[in-house]
Amino acid sequence: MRRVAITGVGPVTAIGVGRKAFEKAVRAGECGIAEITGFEVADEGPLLAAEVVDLDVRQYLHSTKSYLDRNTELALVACELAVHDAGLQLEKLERHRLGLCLGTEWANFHTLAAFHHVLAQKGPRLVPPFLFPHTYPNTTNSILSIEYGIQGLNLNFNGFHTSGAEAIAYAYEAILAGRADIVIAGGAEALCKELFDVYAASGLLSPREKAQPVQGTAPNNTMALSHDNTLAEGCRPFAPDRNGFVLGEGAALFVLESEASVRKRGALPLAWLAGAFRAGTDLAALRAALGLLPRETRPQAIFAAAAGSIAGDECEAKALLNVFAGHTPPVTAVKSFCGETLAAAGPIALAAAVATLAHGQVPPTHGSSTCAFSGLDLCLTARSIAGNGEARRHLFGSSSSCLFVHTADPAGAAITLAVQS
Amino acid sequence: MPAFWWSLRTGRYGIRPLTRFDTSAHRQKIGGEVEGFALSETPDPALQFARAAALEAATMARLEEIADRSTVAVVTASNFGAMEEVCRLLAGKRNGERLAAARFGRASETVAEALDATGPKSAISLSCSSGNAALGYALDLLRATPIRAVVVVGYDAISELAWSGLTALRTMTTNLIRPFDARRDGTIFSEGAGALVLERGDNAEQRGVECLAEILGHGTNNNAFHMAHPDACGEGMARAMTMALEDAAVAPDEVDHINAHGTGTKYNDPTETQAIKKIFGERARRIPICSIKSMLGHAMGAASALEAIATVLTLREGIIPPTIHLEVPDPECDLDYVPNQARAHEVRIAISNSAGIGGPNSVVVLGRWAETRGGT
Repeated sequence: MRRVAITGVGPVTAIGVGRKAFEKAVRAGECGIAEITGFEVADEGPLLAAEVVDLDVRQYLHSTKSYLDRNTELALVACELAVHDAGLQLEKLERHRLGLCLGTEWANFHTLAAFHHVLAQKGPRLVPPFLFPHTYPNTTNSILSIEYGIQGLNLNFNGFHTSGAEAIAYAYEAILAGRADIVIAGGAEALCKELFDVYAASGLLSPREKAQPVQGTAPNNTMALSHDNTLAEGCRPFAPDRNGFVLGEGAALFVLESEASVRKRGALPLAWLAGAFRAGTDLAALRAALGLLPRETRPQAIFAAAAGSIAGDECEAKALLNVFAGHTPPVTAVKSFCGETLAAAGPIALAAAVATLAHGQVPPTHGSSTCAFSGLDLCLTARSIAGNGEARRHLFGSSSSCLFVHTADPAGAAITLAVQS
Repeated sequence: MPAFWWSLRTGRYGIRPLTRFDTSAHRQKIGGEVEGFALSETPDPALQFARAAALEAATMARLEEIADRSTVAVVTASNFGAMEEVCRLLAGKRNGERLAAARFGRASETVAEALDATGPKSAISLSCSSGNAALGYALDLLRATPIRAVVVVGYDAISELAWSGLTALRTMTTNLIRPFDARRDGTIFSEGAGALVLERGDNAEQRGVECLAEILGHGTNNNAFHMAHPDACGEGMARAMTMALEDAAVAPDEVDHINAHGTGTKYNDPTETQAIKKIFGERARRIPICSIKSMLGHAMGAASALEAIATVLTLREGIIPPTIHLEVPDPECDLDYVPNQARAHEVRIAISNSAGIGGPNSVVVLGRWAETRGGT
């Protein structure tokens, strides 16, 4: 088995910050979706998101910073948590054998919006020069490189929901190919008013619940009448009444490490990455991942990409049913409790999968009361899987539990990661 | 491509007054706009450049011959993506279509649709080293996965927002861009796209398509030093060159030519010169180096993709394009930068350097097809 150790997990999510808190929340089946508090929402727009609240980034920084976009903050906190979790002593490492691979879709969008605002208001000669470098899609990557002195393999993926998972996939391959001993990899996505407003206007989000129009009033209010007024706003992956997704924010970074490095450091892997499969469709990525397992064996659970979108969930459900011949292993959707975190979604789902391997509980798909797809074994409540909790005891032994973490982008990109104890 | 090569060989200068937007309020009024390209209203100009470049490369590679389209991947690289579309969103013009059109991954989607490539799609941004970083990533995809061919496109367009920011950073000159010249006082940004099709060597030979060159290796890292300044002694760039040469299993002695990052800023050129000396020692003086940015300007996310294309042409034609406007030598830049006149020079193995704001460096090693072992 071509595998790479996960020795540190740094989740920064709406249900918990840090591996222990996140694991506890996953086990308890907590949900991080709530009314937005971080910024004002438009009068008619959606009200819900999965925000990371009360995060004091200063607690996690090694040096003072004059400016940080929230995207960079989330990634910095996730990086610090992952490094600490892995017990990495950076001063003892060969820095050029330490790599960094990050994924983010909208990067520092709030800073870009702020820069755009000054340009529109004051013209090109009065734009703030210090803000401009923070608008680059790779700025979070650069700031982490500088903060941690990461001088080895570096790459930055942007613009797809799969970008965070792709950073992990590349780190996995690079370690196997000997390009680095240790790679910090994952994704981050921040919410801000500007990004939320863009999504709220897109028709992709689950719309705000509207009161039934009282008979005889507002006959010309076509907006109110054209919506399906009976559905509550919410994230309902794979459910028949799903009507769009709920945005979220967060980050999850991992310390990924070669077997040799694990031995050298005497580190204890939390789990192993056993494969990473990219494709242009859900079906192709899942099929390739299944090819990793011996015949007749299946993953014990699938952490799906489903977010409650009408078309996206259906496409993924059909692919799952196809690959698993009409009857799937248990499926759960992390976005139902951490929100649609775009490029951070794959890494956050991987963190949830690692938590599941630790305590044996597949978290429930919140919000969904039934599954619209016959044969798709959707976890509506928490589910126990067998053979868990052995990761730390059987360091280099054969593995028993294998989970798939699937991510997908509506533009036609999909990545399935295989993780095992 | 023939027009590009002709211009490089003859030392044509591409910097002119900007026409894309009204420059009356701007301090910097000259730049390198793509000329002779009929831009349509939509999509974003950046995407039109990316698509056009990808189509030309795919036609040369006869990419349509690959029957299983799911084995054809697309990797795009850019600093700014579809920035005009993003600005429209920020100006309040919002709906689902506009959101899709403004996503950073849109270029990959556009290219994949144009070429009927149904394999994985990726979008990479690593500042001004994006193009080389994407080439390196594509090479690793071919090494590590069953993908047969990857279309790599580095692209960027001049937008008013990016132009305002780049001007505010005070890295641009209103004079000439003259890399390695003592009088240099800044770079000049430009735009465009460069596309390369990378394919497994055995696969390409099997279907009888002409292989233009071989990509032997790459190295991408970060100085981990400072957001805006290169580390003055060139440690990070030198390290990226070492990573690339080690990855390619090429000794420094085997390198015949360097296509430099060569931006024309006060900092970059001596730093890069030092980095080259670190790797090649005394021999550095005998390696012809060129900066095609002296002609093209700095095409941002497209820059290193275009430089990789120039390097491929150098390998094939045995001609090194000149570094133009290099008249007054700088004691800190004391290598052979092929000043002002293209030079006939046999090149078997070359490296192409790139670096960017925030400290990333990315270097690729390219070799003449016949000379190398028949890889990718």
